[in-house]
Amino acid sequence: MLEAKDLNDLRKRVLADETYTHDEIAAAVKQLISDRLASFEAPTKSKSKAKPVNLDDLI
Amino acid sequence: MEFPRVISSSIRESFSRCPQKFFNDTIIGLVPKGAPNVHLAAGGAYAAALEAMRKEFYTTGDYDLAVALGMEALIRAYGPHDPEPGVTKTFERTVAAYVEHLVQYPPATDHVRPSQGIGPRVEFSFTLELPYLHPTTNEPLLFAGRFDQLADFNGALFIFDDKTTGSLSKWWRQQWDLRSQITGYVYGAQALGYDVIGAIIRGMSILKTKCDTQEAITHRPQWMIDRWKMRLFYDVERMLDCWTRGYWPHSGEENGGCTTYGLCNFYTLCTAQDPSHYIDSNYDRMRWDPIDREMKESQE
Repeated sequence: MLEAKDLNDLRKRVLADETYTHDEIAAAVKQLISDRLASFEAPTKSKSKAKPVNLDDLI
Repeated sequence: MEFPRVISSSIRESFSRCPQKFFNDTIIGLVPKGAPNVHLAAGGAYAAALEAMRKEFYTTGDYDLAVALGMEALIRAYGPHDPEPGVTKTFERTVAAYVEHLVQYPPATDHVRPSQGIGPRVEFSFTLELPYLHPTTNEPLLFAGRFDQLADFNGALFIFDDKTTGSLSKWWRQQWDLRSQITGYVYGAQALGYDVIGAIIRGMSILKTKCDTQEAITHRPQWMIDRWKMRLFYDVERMLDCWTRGYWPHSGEENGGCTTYGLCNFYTLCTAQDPSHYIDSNYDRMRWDPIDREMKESQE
C-alpha cells in the first residue's frame, strides 16, 4: 500500500528536481493501481466468483 | 487595454456569459492575486498526465515509462500548492483520478486511441482566420482551439477530450450534444481537412472517497456546424461593437453568471461604484494566450 506521505515525498523530490527515477515513479503508480484493484475485491457478501483482476491484465 | 488577436471557445464563452467579465479578463487582462484556482490546477494536472502517458505509450508501447511520465507531468502541473481544507481536488485525489483512468481505460486495450500522423495525434491544435479584422492592428482575427486527441473509434475520426468534474450529474452526457466548444473543435478539425464526425468526451469525477467515469459520444451534423458558425460570427461582431462603443454590459446581473461557477472573479469590481480603486490590490495584470497556451503579462 502506497501511503500519502510516500506520494508527497515523491512530489517534493520531483518538484525540487532532486534524485528520482522513472522506474521508481512507475513502481509507485503500479502500486497505486494494484491497491485500487484490490479494493474491487473488498465486498465479500457477493456470491459471485468472478476472477480477480490484477495489474498484469491491464498491461 | 487590448482586443484579443485570437478568439477561443473559452474567450467566446466568457463574452457570452457577461461582456463585463470579458472586458476584465480579456480586454484589460486581470487575474485574481493569490494561489492558482485549485479546480483549474487539478484539471490541468490530470490532462497533463494523460497527455504525457498517451504520447509515450502510443509511440513506443512502453507501459512503465508511459505511466511514469504521466505521473511526473501531473506532479509538475499540479505544483507545490495545496488547497485549503475541505476542498476535494487535492493532489492525492488528482493522483487517484489518474490511477482510476489507468484502471478503467488501460492504454493497451482502450477502445479510443489517438489517430496516427507523424506521431500519435495527442494535444491537437488548430488556428483559422476569421472574416473580421482586428480593430487596432487590422490583421485578420483568428479562431483557435486545442483538444486532447484526434481519435480513431470504430473506424471513424472523432474529437476526444478528457474532462474533470466534481460529480457526474444526471444530464452529464446530454450537455455535450449542444456544447459550442465541441462544435468548434469539430469545425476546426474539418477545416484542416480531417473527416471528423463527432466527439467523444470522457468524464472523470473527483470526489473525496471515490472517482467515477462516464463517456459521451456525440455527433455534429453539418446543419449544427453551420448554426454554430453563424453564432460565432454574431458574437465576434458584438465583441467588436462593444469595443467601438466602449460599453461592456453587466449581463451576469440578468443571467446568474455572477455565481454560476462559484463566485465570479470580478465580483469585487462589479460591486464597486469605482472599480479602478480595487484593481491593483486584488488583481495581477495577466492574460491567457490561447495559441501559446500560457499566461502572459498584460500592459496597464
